[in-house]
Amino acid sequence: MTVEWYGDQVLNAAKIVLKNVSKEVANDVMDDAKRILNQKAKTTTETGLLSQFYVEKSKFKDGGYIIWCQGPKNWKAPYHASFLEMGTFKDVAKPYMRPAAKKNKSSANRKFKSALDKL
Amino acid sequence: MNALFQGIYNRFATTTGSGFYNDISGRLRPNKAEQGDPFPYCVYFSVSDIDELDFTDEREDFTIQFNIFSQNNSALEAGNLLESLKTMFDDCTLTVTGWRHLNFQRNLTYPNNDFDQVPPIQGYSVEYDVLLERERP
Repeated sequence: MTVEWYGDQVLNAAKIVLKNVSKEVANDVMDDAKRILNQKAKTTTETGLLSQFYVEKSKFKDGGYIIWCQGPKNWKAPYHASFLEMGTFKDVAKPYMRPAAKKNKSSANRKFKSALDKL
Repeated sequence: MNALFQGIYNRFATTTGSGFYNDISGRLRPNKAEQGDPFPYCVYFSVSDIDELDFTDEREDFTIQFNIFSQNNSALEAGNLLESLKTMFDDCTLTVTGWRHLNFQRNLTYPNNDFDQVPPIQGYSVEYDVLLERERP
């Protein structure tokens, strides 16, 4: 009797699917972060951050994607993306990244499940 | 949201004269500091709120952030404030009107400094996850 096991092919297919969904979710988070920032931004300096978002593949193994605002590849002075997110002793916080990540948590789970169900 | 903010403040206010309350002289402010507030002080605000609904319960999952600020050449005061904040709120039980409190868990802590100021501003941003469940009659 012979059993032919194509486990590697299944795993590779799953990896490709998960990678694509990861990128899609990262783009969703970025879009929501921009939308939230656009709602909260009051000054031209704050709205200027809208053009400084990008999504990048993590360099770490199985690290997924990183959503940057004023990351090393795309930023203009003044540097203040993190100050806006976290707040400072002078300025009220206007979080936009964390709400966007949280908002997409449930839909990300659904997307991963749906993609794996189709395998 | 107001009920949660009130619950947080009530927990703080019941410790008048000791611990974190004493360390920041009662200056725990919702959303933003008051004009002219002297250091040290603390600001707390909601980072996000979403409804997590299923078929049996109605839950709210909040992220609350505390920003503590000290103006001091030494990092000691800010460090002590961080410790007393954690003592007061880590895994605490809140009384929130209309809600059953499930969880108050510290998530992340970031330094929040401004060394351009003289003396420098030294502080921390501390994030908590709060899970509440609506009380049913």
